[in-house]
Amino acid sequence: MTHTETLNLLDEIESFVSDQLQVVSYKWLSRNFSLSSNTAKRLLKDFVEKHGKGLEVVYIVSGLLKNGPSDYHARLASSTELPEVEKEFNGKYSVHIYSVQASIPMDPAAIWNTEFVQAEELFRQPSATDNCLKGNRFCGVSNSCVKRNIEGATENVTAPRTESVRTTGQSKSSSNFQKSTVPSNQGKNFQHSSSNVGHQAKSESIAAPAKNQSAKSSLDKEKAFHVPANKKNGQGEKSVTGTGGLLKNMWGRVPVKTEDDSPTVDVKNHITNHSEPQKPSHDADKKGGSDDETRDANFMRAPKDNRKRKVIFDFSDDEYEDVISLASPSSPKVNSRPDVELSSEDSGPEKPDADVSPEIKSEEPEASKEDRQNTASVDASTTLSTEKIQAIGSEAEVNPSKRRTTAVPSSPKRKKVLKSRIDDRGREVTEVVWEETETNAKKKEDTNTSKKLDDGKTANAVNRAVAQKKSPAIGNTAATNAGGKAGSKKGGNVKDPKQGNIMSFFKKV
Amino acid sequence: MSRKDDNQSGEVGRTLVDFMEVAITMIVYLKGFYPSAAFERRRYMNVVVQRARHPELRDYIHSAASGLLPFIEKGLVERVAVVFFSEDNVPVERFIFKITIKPSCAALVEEGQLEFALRSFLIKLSVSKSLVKPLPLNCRWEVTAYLRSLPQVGSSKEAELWIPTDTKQWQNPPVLTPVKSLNSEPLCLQLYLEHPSLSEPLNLVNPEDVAPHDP
Repeated sequence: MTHTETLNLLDEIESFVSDQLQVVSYKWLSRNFSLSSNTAKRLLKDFVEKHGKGLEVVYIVSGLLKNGPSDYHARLASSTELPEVEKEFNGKYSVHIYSVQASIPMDPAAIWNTEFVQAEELFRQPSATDNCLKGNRFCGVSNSCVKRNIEGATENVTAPRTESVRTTGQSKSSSNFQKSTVPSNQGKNFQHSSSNVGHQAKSESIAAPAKNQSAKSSLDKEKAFHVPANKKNGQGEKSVTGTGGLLKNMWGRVPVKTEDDSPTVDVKNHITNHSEPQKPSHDADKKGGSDDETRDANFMRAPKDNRKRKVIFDFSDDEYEDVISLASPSSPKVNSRPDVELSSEDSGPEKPDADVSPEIKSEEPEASKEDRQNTASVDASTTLSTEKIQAIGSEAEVNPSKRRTTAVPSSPKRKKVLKSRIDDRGREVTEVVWEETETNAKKKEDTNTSKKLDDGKTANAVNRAVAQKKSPAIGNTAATNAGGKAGSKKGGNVKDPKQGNIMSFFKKV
Repeated sequence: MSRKDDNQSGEVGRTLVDFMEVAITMIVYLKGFYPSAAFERRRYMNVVVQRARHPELRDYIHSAASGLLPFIEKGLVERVAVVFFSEDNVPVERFIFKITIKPSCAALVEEGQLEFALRSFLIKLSVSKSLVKPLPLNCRWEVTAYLRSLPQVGSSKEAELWIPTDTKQWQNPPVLTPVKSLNSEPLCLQLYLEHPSLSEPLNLVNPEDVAPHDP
């Protein structure tokens, strides 16, 4: 800032303080004249040195207190109180000028009145306006990776409105927007969590499904969507293409057939999340807001690599015992199970969701239905048990078509292993443990699917019939829910020829 | 005047009356007439204001302000003054609200904008301590309304709340200190301070003024 500019500003400050009796705080100053907070503080200091006579100055003292908790304290003090307040601080502390005014208001809270009004005015500006409140650009903390992109913001405002994030171009722009505005550096968990958001988005998507979307465009979208996620991880601009390829591999395993609306909703929801401040009137905001919350929760609970899941089937009757024990990997009949578990990496984050997020609740009826079916089939007869296991497996595979969100990038080197045992209370405890070994689960899966083709149909029929008269299962809903989800990915990954049948099964139900 | 216009000016009147109630409280608080503990912090139009905690004081201010509503709606009120005067009824300081309502233009400005404009008065008032003079001992205060013409006695119930004031008036033109002014379509409002000029003789009573009972 040049000398003359500084002088002009000092004059203006003087007129604000002396003529208009305004409280000029550094925050107000920085917003009003588009200065950084530090420059604004320096200006106020200059101003006080030159014109400070007869004016009241409020200082902000920040540091650690001598006696008291070891929290960082920031305290406002008038010039008369300053020496006293400074005594309370320990060691090094900072003293800045907070505000300059003609008189200290009777009610100290009145100091903030002008700031309130200023913030309100800035907030009321149209969404396309680039102002410092929305950009937060005078904050002392800055991140060079985070940039504001006004054009992206406005494009995105239109995108959710039309409810069709159909073209890749559009989703590109949205991803642009994300990488430019989202300040979150959530680290490597982001990808898992974002797929989680996908889950919630799915459960919300009843309102606006985009069923007829082509698989290809959805894949594109997912790619586009995840590039910014990686960027946020701090991998930088150059890695875009590389990451894209990697992601393509990951997403390549996502079922083409069952891919209908989830990615769309995914992208859309993120748009609403991040464009929220720009278009507060849009009704999707509520979704966005709640999504945000739950996503935060997901971040907090995002699974680590060495995830461990516990599935507890709590059946009171011993007659279920044999069936459940079949679920152990030792049984050759249950070859499909490991597959199911392998894919349950995406259901890992699901369980915390059930605890935290209200959205997940919309899936619970489904879960209990599955539950019912599972136990029902168990109940039917013991001779059918092998088929039933298949049925459970195939049911699990059905689910992907319903709640396939699950586009979680999985590391190919990792595998989920199902370990079940009977605990001291006589319950079946199934633990899903990550193992770092490469397995040939895929092969098994292939062989299994052919079997399931046959068994699945009949078993499904049995299941349905029984399920209708059976009361809800006693089993742990969350556990079954997770199990069902676990299947989801696998079902998607194999381009299962049986898929059509399963779909028709659900249609009938 | 059409029915719609009637409603609109009523809106403006009610907003103004609300604002007056807050502003009068702010003035009394600003003058330090009562200890600060007699007031509590409230939010009005999204800014920090004060409200009297004592029910009688609150009622007095409320009734004084809301009692003005019929006169404001009729366009009779020219000025509203918050007068601080010494023991011998000589005003020391007067806060004057000069009100002009143009009912025909009432539809032109939204109420939100009006409130937005009015709250700048409150913000300014809250930091106007440097403008006011310290009060003498044993002083009193009252709210005085200056009407364009005397209302007919018993024309409305609210009017009966108001009585002619016996506060003496200054003879020389006072020294004015402007605080804030608003010039919009339905409502023009000026807030300024009046202090007696230095060569002020003893005063007379102006019988045309009316004022409510002193609290």
